[in-house]
Amino acid sequence: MLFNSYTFWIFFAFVAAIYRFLDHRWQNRFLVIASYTFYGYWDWRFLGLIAVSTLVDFFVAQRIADAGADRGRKTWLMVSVSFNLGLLGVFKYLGFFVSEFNSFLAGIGIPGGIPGIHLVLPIGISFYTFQKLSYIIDVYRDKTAPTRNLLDFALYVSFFPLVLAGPIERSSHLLPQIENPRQPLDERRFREGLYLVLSGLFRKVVIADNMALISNHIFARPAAELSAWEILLGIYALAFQIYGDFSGYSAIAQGVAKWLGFDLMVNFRHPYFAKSPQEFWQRWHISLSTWLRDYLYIPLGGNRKGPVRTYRNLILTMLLGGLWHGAAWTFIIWGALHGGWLALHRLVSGTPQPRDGQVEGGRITGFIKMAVTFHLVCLCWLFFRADSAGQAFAMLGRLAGDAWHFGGLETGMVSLMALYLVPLVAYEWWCEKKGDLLVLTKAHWGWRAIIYVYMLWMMLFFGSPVPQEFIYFRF
Amino acid sequence: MNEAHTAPEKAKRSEWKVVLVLAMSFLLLEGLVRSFAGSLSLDLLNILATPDTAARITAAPEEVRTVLVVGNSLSRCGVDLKQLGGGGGWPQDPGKLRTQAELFAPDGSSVAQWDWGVKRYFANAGSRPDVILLLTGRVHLLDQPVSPETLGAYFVGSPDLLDAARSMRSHEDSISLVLGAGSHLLANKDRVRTRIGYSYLPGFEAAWPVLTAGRDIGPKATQAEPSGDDASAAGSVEALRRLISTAREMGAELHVISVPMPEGYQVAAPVRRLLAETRTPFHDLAVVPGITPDLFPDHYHLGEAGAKLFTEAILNSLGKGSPAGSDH
Repeated sequence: MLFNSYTFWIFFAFVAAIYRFLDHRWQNRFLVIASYTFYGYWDWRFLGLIAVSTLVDFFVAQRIADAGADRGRKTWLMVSVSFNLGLLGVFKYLGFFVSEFNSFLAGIGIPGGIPGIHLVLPIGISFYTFQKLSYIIDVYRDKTAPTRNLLDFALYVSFFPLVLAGPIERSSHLLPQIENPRQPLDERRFREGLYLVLSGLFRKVVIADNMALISNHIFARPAAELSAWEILLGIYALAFQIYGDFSGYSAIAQGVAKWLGFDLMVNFRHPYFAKSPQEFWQRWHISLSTWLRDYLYIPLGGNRKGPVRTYRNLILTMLLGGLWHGAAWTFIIWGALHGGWLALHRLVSGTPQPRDGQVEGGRITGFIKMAVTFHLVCLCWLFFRADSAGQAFAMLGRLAGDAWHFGGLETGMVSLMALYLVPLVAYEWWCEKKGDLLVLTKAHWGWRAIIYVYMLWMMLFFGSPVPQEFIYFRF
Repeated sequence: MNEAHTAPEKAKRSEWKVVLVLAMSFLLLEGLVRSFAGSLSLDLLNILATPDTAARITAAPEEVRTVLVVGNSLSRCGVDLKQLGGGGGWPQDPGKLRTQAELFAPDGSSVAQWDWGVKRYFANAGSRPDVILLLTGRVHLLDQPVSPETLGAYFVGSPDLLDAARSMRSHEDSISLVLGAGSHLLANKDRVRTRIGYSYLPGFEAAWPVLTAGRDIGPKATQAEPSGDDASAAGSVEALRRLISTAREMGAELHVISVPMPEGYQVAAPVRRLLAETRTPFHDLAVVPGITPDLFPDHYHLGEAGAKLFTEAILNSLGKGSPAGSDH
């Protein structure tokens, strides 16, 4: 049941129609049923897993809160962390490590090794596991009071707009919205929800899926068969594919939740307008980057223990961020590149950049910084998407060579990218200048009507002929 | 940057106007597509002309043997209808003094479209050809990506809509099919894109086939033939079974004929098994003596000279009276 499927919208219409007639307690019960239905529609076999892991963390949180002594609290915290990371380890990383271990054994001449393990990855496991971990750690840190209502906690873990691909909500933000009666759907919520849903669908159906045609083209062929222009355009397309796909998903999740009376956190703030790596991570997958900051980087010491430890912490945090995406060397390289780049930037610039792109320097300097940041992000995406590091290096080799032929294919790629991306970038630039992600919802309704009609027509006529699954589902 | 919630009060009811404009724009496009469907593609014109084809068959006198050639562009280019109608190869039948051949061959269609299309335009409309010649290329009796919206809009008749929806592979396809039946806009969205792309986007002609290569090719000749249990072939085999059954209910004699292609091929095993099981005459004409690669001017479809040879081969094969279910 993809957000860009008719099935989902029929499901949602049914949920919303019933939901509005229920009182708060029944709304929560109904949403748990709807969320488990939504999750089970993907693969009912993993319903048991999400239910059991919900139960475990619900009871562990009670034990942490009830344990007077610090030692007891820590023990229960370790129980939950081990359980959650253990689940992730088994489903997500065991097969990779076994395969790497076997390769190592084969490398030193020991045949056989451990039999290969191929487990199906439960969809959304990285997202809901991190969400539960944040709850448990916040309860341990006394930042959140544990909920005493199992259904409320089950809804916190499984809420259908975010269970598959986030945003990774914090208990301090989402739980109060679950525990307390929510605002009914008023004009403002409807308007903002409509904007988020339509703009999210547009980014997914028009931007991401069409850019996927271009990026898939370069990753499906040996680099030697591609011109340097094809590779370069393919990497740019990949950058917008990932952005459109994930930010689109997050926006639809936000919009759908808004129609149900919830406010989810903002996950993307025009990340390609960032002028530094720090700023990029303040704008990209914000729910993960702040999670990594609060539960990994700061506990590791953050920037409080001298520059060397700071660089180490940055690299370590980003390496683990890379590994969060999946068990593959390409993700580890992606994390290492980001970590190394963050550390290097910090070394050169000294202090972190202020938020929201308010960098010193003129317009041209700002533009150059933005372009450099974007291209470094693209370099990282190349490793993120490549089937192997070898493929990524082969493409970089072509870019460094003399294969810069520009023919009909490349012209077509530029035309298609211009058709889809120019209006998007221009619109987002306008929002950026206004400093408001929802600026269109405050404009005259006529402007919204024009832009929505444009988005609808583009979705109708220029939606990709090959609908793609959301990329982040596989994480 | 923030998400400040300061909506002006005057905009209190404005969002319904926005929704109304969206709905109106959709209806406007729907009207435009329905009005100018023929301008979108020749193929659509052909499909829309199918009721006339059915009417000609219905109107044919009793002594005329009516033959409906079902297929796609391979059949349209590969068969000489005049020769087929006037040819002397037909089995002797004192009640049938001459033959009238008609064509139902939408571009890019395959077994799913043929199945529901024959039902909608011929069976449900009371049009009863005496003979149906189902002409198929390498992959057209195997599963191919079929747009459910297009199927719903142009091939499935209203009485069959629920059956067709049930036969789809997923809930999503079922819903798309039903929506397609109601909206020609949804059914034609791909045609609009390619039309605009080819007309206005520089380089589209070179890039589009490369970027979308493989998305609607179906099983390749080089791939292993699907087994009878192959899930990917199951839907198509089921569609062919329905088509055979529809033809029988119509009282038509159905012949399945493979069409020559530049590279030789064999119709897939699950399909041949079904034809044998249902005792449906099968004429394996994928390779016809004299039809050489130079008779395919675009390297895919037969040209005029090739069509004459192939039509002659069809008539010869029909005249021999193919045993049911056997290769001929």
